[in-house]
Amino acid sequence: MRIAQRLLQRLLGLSLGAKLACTFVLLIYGVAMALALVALHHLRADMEEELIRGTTLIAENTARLATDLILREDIWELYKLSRDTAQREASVRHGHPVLYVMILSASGEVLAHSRPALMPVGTRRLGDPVWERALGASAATVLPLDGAWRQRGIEVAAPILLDGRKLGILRVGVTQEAMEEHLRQMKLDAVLLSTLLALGGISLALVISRRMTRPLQRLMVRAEELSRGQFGSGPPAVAWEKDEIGRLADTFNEMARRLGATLEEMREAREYLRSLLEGADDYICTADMAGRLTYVNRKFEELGYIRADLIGRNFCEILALPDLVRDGCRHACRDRMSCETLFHLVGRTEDVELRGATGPARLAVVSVTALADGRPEGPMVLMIGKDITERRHLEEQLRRSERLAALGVLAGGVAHEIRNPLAGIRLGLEALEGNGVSDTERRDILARVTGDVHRLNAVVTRMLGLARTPAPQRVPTDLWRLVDRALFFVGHHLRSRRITVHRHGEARLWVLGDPDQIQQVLLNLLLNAAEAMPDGGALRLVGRRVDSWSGGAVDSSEPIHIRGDWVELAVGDTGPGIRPEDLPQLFTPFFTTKDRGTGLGLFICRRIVAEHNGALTVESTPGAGTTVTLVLPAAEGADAPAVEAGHDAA
Amino acid sequence: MARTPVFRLFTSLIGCWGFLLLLPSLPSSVAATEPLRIGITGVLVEHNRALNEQMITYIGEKVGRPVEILHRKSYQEMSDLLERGLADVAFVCGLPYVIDREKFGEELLVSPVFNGKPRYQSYVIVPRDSDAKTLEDLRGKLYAFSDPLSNSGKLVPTYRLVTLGETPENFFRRYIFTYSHSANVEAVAVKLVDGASVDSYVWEYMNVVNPQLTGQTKVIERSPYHGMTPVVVRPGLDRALKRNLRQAFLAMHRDPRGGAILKQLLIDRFEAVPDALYDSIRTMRRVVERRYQRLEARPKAP
Repeated sequence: MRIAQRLLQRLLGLSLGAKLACTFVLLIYGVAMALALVALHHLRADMEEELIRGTTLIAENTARLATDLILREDIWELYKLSRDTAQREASVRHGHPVLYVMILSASGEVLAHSRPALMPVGTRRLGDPVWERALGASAATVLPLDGAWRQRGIEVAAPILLDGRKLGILRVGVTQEAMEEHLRQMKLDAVLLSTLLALGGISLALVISRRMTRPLQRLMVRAEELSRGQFGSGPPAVAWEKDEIGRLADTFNEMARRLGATLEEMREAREYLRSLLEGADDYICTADMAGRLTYVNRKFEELGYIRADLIGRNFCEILALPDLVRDGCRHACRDRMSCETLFHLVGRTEDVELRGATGPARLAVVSVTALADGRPEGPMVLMIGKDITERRHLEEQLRRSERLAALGVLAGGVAHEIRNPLAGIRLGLEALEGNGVSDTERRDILARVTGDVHRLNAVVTRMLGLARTPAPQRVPTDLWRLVDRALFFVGHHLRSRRITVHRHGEARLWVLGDPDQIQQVLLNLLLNAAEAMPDGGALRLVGRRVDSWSGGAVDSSEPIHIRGDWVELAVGDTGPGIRPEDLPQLFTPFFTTKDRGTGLGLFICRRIVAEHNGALTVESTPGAGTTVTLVLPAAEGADAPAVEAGHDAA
Repeated sequence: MARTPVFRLFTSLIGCWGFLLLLPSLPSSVAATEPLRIGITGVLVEHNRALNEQMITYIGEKVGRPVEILHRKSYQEMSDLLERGLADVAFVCGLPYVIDREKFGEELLVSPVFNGKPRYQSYVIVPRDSDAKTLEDLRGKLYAFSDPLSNSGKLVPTYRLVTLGETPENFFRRYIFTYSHSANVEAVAVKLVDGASVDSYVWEYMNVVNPQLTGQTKVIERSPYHGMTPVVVRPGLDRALKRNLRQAFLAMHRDPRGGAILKQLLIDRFEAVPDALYDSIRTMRRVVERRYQRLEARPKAP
């Protein structure tokens, strides 16, 4: 069995040409042998039938001749009849020699036998079933040849009848050996012929298979060249005939040409993309699922790295995500960031710090996308970062200038705040300088002056609080306190415009963030609201805790549902509202609908809120008013007294 | 003399006489065209029938008569022909001759001479590998005779058994008649029978022309000599013809063609033999017949 298996393997491993030739040969052989065997089978059947027929004829004819002799019991004549029948028929019958002719009496006694030495006159075989059948035959019967003859043959027993009375039995035994030999010879001839045909067929098969496989071989060589990447080498595979192989060769050549062209295009495209990537002025890198960098573009060299060194290192060695993100990401590990952190960033834009090998760190805004489209290496994260170090400086400056501008506004407000008490103090002092001031009047005046001094102090104190360094801190902050402070600063604006302030919502609104920055945002929002209602209106402040919010500014493509503990503060005015066509551009820098103003306020607000991981959204109905919603991360904080709802007019 | 009626009668008579006188000396071609009927019995000549026919044809030419060869299977048939005058000449056996001579006067013509004598023997032959040494060893066996009227083929062995106090019927298990001496040789050779009686001339002849066959047999007994199978003629055959026939036979061996035929037949020559040559056959016949009569007379067993 194993040998057969190995042989089979060997056979299957032969070349196509050899396999073709073998198949051809085997086919010829098989067909020839099958035909021969079928023919021989039929021939055998025919020969056997003829044998029976011929033998029956002999038996019946001889039986007729024996009738007279058996009546006379002429033993010698019966012997001569048997002898002559056996001899005569032996030469006639196509090589079926008659083995014997035997004549039995009606009682089963041998009267004659063509070979008397084998069966003496008077022999009687009792109990032999064949003899019994022969004796009982009423018509020519075919019987098996006696086994003693040790050859294949038949016997036909014919009754010797006279007027229906059975006088005896004539039995003719015929050998089939000659026929068998003949058939054996024919079988041998068939095998020989088949072998010769097969052998002859081999040469034909080899020729045909060569013709068929030569072009295939050339194709194969070309295919191997192509697989090795050698495109231009060698002439195209050629087959002269226009049969399937010829067409295959043509198609193959066309395919090779197209493949070459496509690969060339791909190479160009890759080069082009590579040049884009390389030439881009952004940081572009990719990382695998474990956070290891798999590709960095040339921009990284500006950080002082050698690109090859970066490959394989974890991205957190270079990228420093803002703390807010780190803290806010539940799955982040404090020590090492994994790609899960990155995945958390997918679809977002974050500011990161890029640590350089040499020199200071750079700031970049990084957008992260996941590439998981069935890549065998697994999902990949693509980070594209824009160096915003300069811009950030500019923004800082802008912010500072905004702050200054805000401060200017504030200063104006403060100046106003200061002027009144100062005027009061001056008037009081002037009054005190004068004559005719009673003690009671002096006391009143001093009290008013002291009060004004206290008010001035308060203003100064508040101003001092505003002028702190803008280092962002993340601390639990009472939002309502910040609101109060902001309201204080813009109180003048509100009062002059006869705007009422309404506060609703939860009393405890503690957020996690930088108080100054949040203050700045609140100032901006309140100022905007104030400026939207020049002729009076209502300013509604609604604050509440939520466990999720649907984020997305008006210009975001998809709303984001972010779960967590959040604080939501809605600042609504009853102004004219914002026109729908202006809504998308609200947060765009330098966009303003005001005559004055830098147009940077909302932009900066957005940035601050984004840094806090929060959001700023605007809803507006023209003619009804605008509501700006601020969402910030919640924090635990001490209890604060409930705020009473209602007016809070200054 | 005048042409008188008496003169005419006289001359015609002389003419007839002359004609009649001349008749015997005329050459054979002018002889009568009536065929001479010569019979040969299969018993004797089955094995060399063609030669015998040649011989007969030769004889016919020698006596100047066309011949009609009559083949008969048995001596009885031949005797019938001769008795009824339907055959003129016949080759028969000694026993039929002595019977027919007594019966209707059949005449002896010549006898062939074989091995220097006009005598032959009866052989008892058995298969070569048989254990039988004498005829007695063939008790209870299957035996072959040739013709019931054959001397060597039936009478001699029967006589032999009778002298032993037996008859073929109770000595042998069974016996058959083959009506042919050469057949008896074959019958023994193929072991169809356990033994047979054969004319010594035939056996010796076959031993020369077909030694493979006789080689399958062996002779275990040889009888005393008896008169050779004669050539006989019917009574009433023309004397002259008979003389001529005899002459033709006797001269045959000197004739080149005739001699050649005889040589092939292993016959030396033909000889005119006396009737007394066959007395031994007569004796045997008498003995056997008496024995059978005695057996017939015996009261039958119940």
